[in-house]
Amino acid sequence: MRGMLQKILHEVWLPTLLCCIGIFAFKALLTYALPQVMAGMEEILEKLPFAKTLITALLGTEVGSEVSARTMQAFLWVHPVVLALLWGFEIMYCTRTPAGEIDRGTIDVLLSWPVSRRQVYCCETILWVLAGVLLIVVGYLGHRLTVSTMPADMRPTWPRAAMVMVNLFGVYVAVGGIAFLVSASSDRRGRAVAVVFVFVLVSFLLNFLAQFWAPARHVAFLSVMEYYQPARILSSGIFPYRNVVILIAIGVSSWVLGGEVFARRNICTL
Amino acid sequence: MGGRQKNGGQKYADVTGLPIFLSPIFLSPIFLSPIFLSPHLPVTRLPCVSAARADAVPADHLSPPRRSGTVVAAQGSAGRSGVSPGVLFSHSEVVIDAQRLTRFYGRRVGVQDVSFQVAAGEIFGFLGPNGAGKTTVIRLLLGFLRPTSGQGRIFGCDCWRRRAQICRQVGYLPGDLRLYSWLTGRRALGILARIRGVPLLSAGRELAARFRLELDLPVHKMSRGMRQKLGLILALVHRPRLLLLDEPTSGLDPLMQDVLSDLLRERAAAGDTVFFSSHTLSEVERLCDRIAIVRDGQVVADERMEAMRQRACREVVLTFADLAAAQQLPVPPFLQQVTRIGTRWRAELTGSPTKFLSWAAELPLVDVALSPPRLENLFRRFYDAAQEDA
Repeated sequence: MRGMLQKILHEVWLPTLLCCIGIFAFKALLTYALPQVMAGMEEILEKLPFAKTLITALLGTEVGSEVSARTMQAFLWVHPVVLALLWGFEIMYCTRTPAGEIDRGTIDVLLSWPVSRRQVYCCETILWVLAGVLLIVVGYLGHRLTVSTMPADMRPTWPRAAMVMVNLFGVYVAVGGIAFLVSASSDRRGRAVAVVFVFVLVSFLLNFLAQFWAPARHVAFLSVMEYYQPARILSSGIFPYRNVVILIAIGVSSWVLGGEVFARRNICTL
Repeated sequence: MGGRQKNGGQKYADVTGLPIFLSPIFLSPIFLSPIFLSPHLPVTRLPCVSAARADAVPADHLSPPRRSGTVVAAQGSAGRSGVSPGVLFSHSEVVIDAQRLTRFYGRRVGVQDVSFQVAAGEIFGFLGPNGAGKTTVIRLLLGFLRPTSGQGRIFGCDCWRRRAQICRQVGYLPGDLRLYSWLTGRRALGILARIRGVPLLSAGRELAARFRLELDLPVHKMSRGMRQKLGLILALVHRPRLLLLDEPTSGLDPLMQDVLSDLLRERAAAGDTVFFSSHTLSEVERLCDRIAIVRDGQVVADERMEAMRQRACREVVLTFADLAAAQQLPVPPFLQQVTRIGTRWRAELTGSPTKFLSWAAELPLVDVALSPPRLENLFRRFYDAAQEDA
């Protein structure tokens, strides 16, 4: 196990570090910029009436007649750049094994070592989970760095922020589980990346469209983003047990299925 | 690390589509079996025995096999793998046992009904032209591929079900070796030592010295030959009881080929088994005790090298003292492909030269030239037959 973990660490430490820096810096900047955006929000809404629809779509909840400070806090957790960094990392990480290994041909060497495919899969998973926790926590630390520049009513309390982080981790697990499943079923990393990318993009757009397009509302339950609602958590302070359970269930069942596919499939690099 | 070719029509490996998700195996209870949740699989011991003994008792209840003791004792390699000096074990211990191994790639035949056994201490050559199925057999033996039918066993263990356990005792060099670009020899030995649970650095250093490889050079800066050397070191460093080498000399210069040959002979003499795939006739001829020739996915010959040599033909050139004798003498049955040019005969001799020498001694000859047995001709006959069939 230690040897496998060491091998995986060699491969992922740099992209993990870069993503951490990216999320940290972006959250710090966003936290710093949000009060200024908030100050000019009324003017923006007057000039661009559709901006309210876009904000509603992005947050996944009705923002009411005016955008409150609490609502603005949720931006920290739903901003497309934050999600793009998180998902980009996941797609990179989860498609490495086995799709990337088969694609490069290195799986021949890997599987000739005395490790079962399930061990390989579990080692990948351990570091994937740790990396997810790290990215989310580092994002929060970035926010904490500049939170003092926010007005007091805009600062999220620690328990509510923790609830949002758990919800975001649920999304991370769901997307990663699906990415592992796709990777386990594929011989080409490019193809696996494309499939997962389309999945997250469709999820994002479906959730976005469902806020103002009725037909999309009927199928919005298929989007993982439907189960991620930081604006509601921050305003109500209620932990979204149902959403988190659904996200974890999607992730774990896909992950288990991916593990079985990997353990039972034929592997040929020719 | 350039692009790789994809075999046409190999649908088995490309399973991005949904059908595999809907396969009944995923609806089985194993899907949620506790073993999946436990990353610690029992890999510390090889709970199998040689195939020769495995029939009698279930593999799970048997102790690990022991190496070919006579050879081990003679070579003084005791102390390794728990073998006591002077202990005699069965020489016929079967290390690899392939029984009617068959693998289809969609409708295309990869290998069909491939059966052979390799005993401990043997250097077994697996010979065949490109695309004959050599690599497929190795992949089946290593559990990369599941046989469509038939069974492969290594040390008495099923190759598909117990691949991780088998790999503890196996060193493998892929035919098309790809290594992680960030890897250096030293780093690879460190990782492998942790995975195998034994220190490997000093053995790795020794091998690197023999192969003249710098252990601190990263793979992305290595030439093809250097990567091949690193692959060989990783396959050999843990002193595996079985070496599965897929075209191991490709990319190596002649000097390094000799180093490898010496190493393999040493390992075989110590009781280890070498399974050696190649399409280079000379190296197989030089190294192997026994060879199997695979053609169109089927084993068409499996013989000891000595027997092959006896069947191989020699080139004979006879120079007669006079033209009349050269032209009128009837051709004896042991000479084939006779060509008469003036006073000279050029022919092929198959089998023992005794008869030929007694026959030639009574002829008015001024010169006789007899080449060593040429296995190449024999191999070519198999290969050519394959091409004719195609």
